[in-house]
Amino acid sequence: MAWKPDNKIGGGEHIGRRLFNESKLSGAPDQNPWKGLAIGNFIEKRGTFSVDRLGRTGIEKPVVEYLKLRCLAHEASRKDSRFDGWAYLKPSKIVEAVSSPPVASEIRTQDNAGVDEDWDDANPKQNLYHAHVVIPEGTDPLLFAFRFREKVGTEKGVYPAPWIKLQGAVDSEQRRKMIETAAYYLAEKRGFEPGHETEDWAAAEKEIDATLKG
Amino acid sequence: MPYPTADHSASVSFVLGTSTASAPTSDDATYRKALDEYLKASSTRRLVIDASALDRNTNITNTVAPWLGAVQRRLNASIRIDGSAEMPEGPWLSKEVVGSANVFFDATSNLLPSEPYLYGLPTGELVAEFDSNAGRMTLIVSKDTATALATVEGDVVHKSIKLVANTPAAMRSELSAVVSRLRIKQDGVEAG
Repeated sequence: MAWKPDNKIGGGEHIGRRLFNESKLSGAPDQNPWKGLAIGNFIEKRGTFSVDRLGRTGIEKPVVEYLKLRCLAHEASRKDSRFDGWAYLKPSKIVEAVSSPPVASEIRTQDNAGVDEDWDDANPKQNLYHAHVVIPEGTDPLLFAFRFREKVGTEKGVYPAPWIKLQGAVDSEQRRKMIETAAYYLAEKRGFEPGHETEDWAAAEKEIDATLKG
Repeated sequence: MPYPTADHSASVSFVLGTSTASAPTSDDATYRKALDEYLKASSTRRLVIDASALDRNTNITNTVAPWLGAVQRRLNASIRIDGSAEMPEGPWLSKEVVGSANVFFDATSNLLPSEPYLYGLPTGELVAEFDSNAGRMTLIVSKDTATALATVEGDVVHKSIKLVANTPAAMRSELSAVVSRLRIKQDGVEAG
């Protein structure tokens, strides 16, 4: 049974930022391997920095299990990316790094068009464990990202994704919702510019099916 | 007796340990002799050649890092060709970003701590990661700016350098504000 978080973040909680393997360049396959965390994982230009609450005093497996579909849907929305796990810190370390605490996010009960949605644990867009850090006004997003990444490096807080093959473990409704979520992320990338809905859906479907096949 | 320190007609500054050699000399032979004696006398100390001081005093900026060619080849091979259906999936860069990165590396390669590891951001910028014994520096290059970030003794150093309408000397000078604090290994000579 997964822990049900309340709206106040506890001091012992482990707060995780999703990591994707995005430290590549098409014309540079001959480089020596590099083992750092790609700074792109920590750059947010919207003023808030999304994180997941991973457990009360440590990382709780039922919470990770709950987040799995959401992370894979997120992965499918990012081309050539693999979800690798989380970079995590305790709330006090986040404040030390970026001078701003994590805050529990309100549970999303409307879809992107503003239509009320019922709560559904199988809907990857609804995340009980979502939290965010407000990026202080005037802070360069690159500086924020660098500070967060440096603190993770100091604390050695990386939790790798427990990689579980999902083939056959997702029913058609879950698959549809994963596609919907991935399409949402694709639309978000272009600022919800209209006219690309079919294209986004097709791209998301392709990526989700590739993910589910492992 | 003072060390036989030397400064070649105000052209080169050598920093040894915490002291700076500064006595003027009249010609090359005297300069070399003084320097040899100095190095002999301070064999346990380490020599640092401050590349930005070299620039200021000599205007010599035509030396480049040995890795520059390989890095520029990787950058040029990563340019997205618009309209090509043949481009495989992968992180590509625009020609504007690659052009800016080439200008920046041409101007600054011999100030940088090491050969960089290169990768792209989903938003199209180039990232170059530098490792040295003293720490890591991250450089993010967009079409008009290079942002250098490093942690030095617990402090984060952050510098944005304009790449448009900026001279190579100005880029070097601005970058020096970051790299001089990194106490880097450079050109096989270790900082003290």
